[in-house]
Amino acid sequence: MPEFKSKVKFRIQKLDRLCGKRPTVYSVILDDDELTLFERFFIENKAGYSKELADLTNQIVTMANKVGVQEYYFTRPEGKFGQDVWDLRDYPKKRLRLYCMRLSGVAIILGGGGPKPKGIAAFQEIPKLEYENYLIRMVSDALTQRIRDKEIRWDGDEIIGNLVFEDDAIDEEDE
Amino acid sequence: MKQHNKNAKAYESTVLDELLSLVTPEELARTESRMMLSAKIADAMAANKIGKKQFAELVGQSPSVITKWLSGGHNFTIDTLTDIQRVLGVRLLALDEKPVPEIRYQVSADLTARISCEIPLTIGGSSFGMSFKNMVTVQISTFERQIQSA
Repeated sequence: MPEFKSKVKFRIQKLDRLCGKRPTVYSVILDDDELTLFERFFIENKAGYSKELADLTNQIVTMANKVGVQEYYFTRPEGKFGQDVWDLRDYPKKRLRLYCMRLSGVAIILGGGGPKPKGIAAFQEIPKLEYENYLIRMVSDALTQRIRDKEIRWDGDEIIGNLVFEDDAIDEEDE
Repeated sequence: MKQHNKNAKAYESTVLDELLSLVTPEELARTESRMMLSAKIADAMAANKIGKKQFAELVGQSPSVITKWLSGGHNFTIDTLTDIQRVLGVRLLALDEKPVPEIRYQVSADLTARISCEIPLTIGGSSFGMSFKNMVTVQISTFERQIQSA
């Protein structure tokens, strides 16, 4: 498992430019970063994977405007039960992995990801993918706890409440 | 309980603008078609109360193929869509709807032609050239397209 700082600060950020009629689209901003994990994913991969990024964007836009965040569009990577972490792949070649959280099928939180070369069976064999996968799992755990504690709730398709995680981010020791 | 933000802040970024500039209408339309087709198949499976395994058996495929069909990335053949239609009782190919309307063209024209020529004349053993021009102008004035509905 990758090493994180003992408390990773982050906030959930709505991406209005990608939101449509149906699910609300969010991403995550770490610490004092200016960009979301999803934007970092784009910047890291745009030089070599622009077609793949375009296809992923088309999928996200279509989900946001036409079809919703249906489970069958995603592949579930390994994770603990209840973490609700999935990956989205480009078509037809499936060269990239984008890790996301599906929230009750009405919202999606886009994380980061990266290329997964053919012949590599498990994402854990690629440090970048392992890091991004565990990061979004950490976000999922923290968000789920806030929902249980009623600090975050649903308002239609949107999550509202305390979306800034500073004091109670998950420690590695808590796992 | 700290309340930092009631709602997520509105967010704009040039990076997202750059990302969205990769989207072309043609590719977006293809993605929409594939994903909406998947959704229609999934809805029909649910309406028929059959899961992947049973559906796979009915169409003579493996469950992993059904997963691929539902992924939103599959480019179906017409034969496959025909088989799915038959098994699930869902319309995926709209082939028996209204035919393409007949298009008729109506042309009306005013014809005047511009002609110039020379006519040689011989008078008293001398030759004279004489030219005249008739004014005939050719003009197609109206070109109407009528669409007949079936």
